[in-house]
Amino acid sequence: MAGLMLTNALYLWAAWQGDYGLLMQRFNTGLLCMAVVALLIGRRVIPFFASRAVAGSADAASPQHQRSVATVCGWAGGRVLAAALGHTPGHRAGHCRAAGPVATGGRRPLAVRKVPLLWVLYAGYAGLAFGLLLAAVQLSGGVARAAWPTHLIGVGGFAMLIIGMVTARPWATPAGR
Amino acid sequence: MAELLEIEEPTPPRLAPPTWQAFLELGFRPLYLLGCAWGIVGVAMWVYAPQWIVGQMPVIWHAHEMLWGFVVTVAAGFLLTGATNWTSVNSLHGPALGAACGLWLLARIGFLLPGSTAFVLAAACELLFQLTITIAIARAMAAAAASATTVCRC
Repeated sequence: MAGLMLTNALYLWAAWQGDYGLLMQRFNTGLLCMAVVALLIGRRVIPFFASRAVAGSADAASPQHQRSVATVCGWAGGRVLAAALGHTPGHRAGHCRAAGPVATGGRRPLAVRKVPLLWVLYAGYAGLAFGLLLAAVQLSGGVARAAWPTHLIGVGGFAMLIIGMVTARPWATPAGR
Repeated sequence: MAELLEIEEPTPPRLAPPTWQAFLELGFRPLYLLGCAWGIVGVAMWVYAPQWIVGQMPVIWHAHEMLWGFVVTVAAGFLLTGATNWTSVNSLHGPALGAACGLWLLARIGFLLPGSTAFVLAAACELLFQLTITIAIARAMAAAAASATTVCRC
C-alpha cells in the first residue's frame, strides 16, 4: 500500500506539472507495483482455494512451495520496480520477462476448470503473467501500442482476479460443502 | 372419529435488518462495493460520456481512476480484511472506516471537477485515504508481532 500511495503521489505531481511522458512512466511504475501486490496475494489465495477444491494440489499450499514462490516473486518484484524507476528499456523488458514466468508457474491448472472460483482466479493470474510478458515485448519494440499490455494486465489480470475475489464463497466449493 | 391433531409449525426466525455497524465492521464490505461500482461507472463514463471528464485530460483521468480508483481500492479492502484475519486485530472499522470511505468519495468527485483547487483537494483526500489504509495495516501487523513476542517471552 505504501508503494501504491507513493506512485500515486508521483503520478498526481506529474499531472499537476503537465509532463505527460513522466506521468506515463509513473503510471507504469504504479501498474507494476500493483502487479507485484497481485502476484503476492495470488500465490497465497489461489493455492488455498485449490487445495480445498482439487485433489493433488495440496502441495502448492505447502510452506516450502510458498517460501520458494514468495522468494522469486519478491526478487522479480523488486527488480521490476527498480527497473521501472530507471531509464533503460532493455532492463525494464528483462525484468518484466522475469516476473511473467513466475506468475505462470502452477500445478494442475486443467483440474480447476470445473470450479468457477478457481478458473477465474487462474485466468486472472495468467492474464497478469501474459500482460507482463507483453509489456516486455512492447519495451523491446515488438509492440507499438503501450495500451495493449496495460489493458491486458488491467482487464485480463486485475479485473479477473477482482471478479474472483469479490464473488468468492469458500463454502460453495466442492471440498467445502 | 379420530381427533385430528393440529401441529403448530414453528415460525421462521426474523432476519436482522442491515446495519451500518455491520457494513463498516470489515474493510472489504464498503470498499469492494465502492471499488466495483466505480469500475463500472468509470468505464461507462470513459466510453460513453468522455465529455463529462472536464477536470483534466480524459486519458489522464481514465488511467488514474482505473488503477488507483478501482483496482487499488479493491486491493485495499482485501488487505484490510486479510490483515484482520491474519493478525486477529481489526485494522480499521466503524466510523474510522466510514471516514476513510468518505475521503475516497470526495477524491472521486474532486477529480471530475474543473480547476486546480478541486484537483489539489481531490489529491489530498485520496492520498490521505491511502495513508489511512497503510497505517491501519501497519498497526495491525505491529500489534500482532508485539503479541507474538510477548507470548514467546512468557
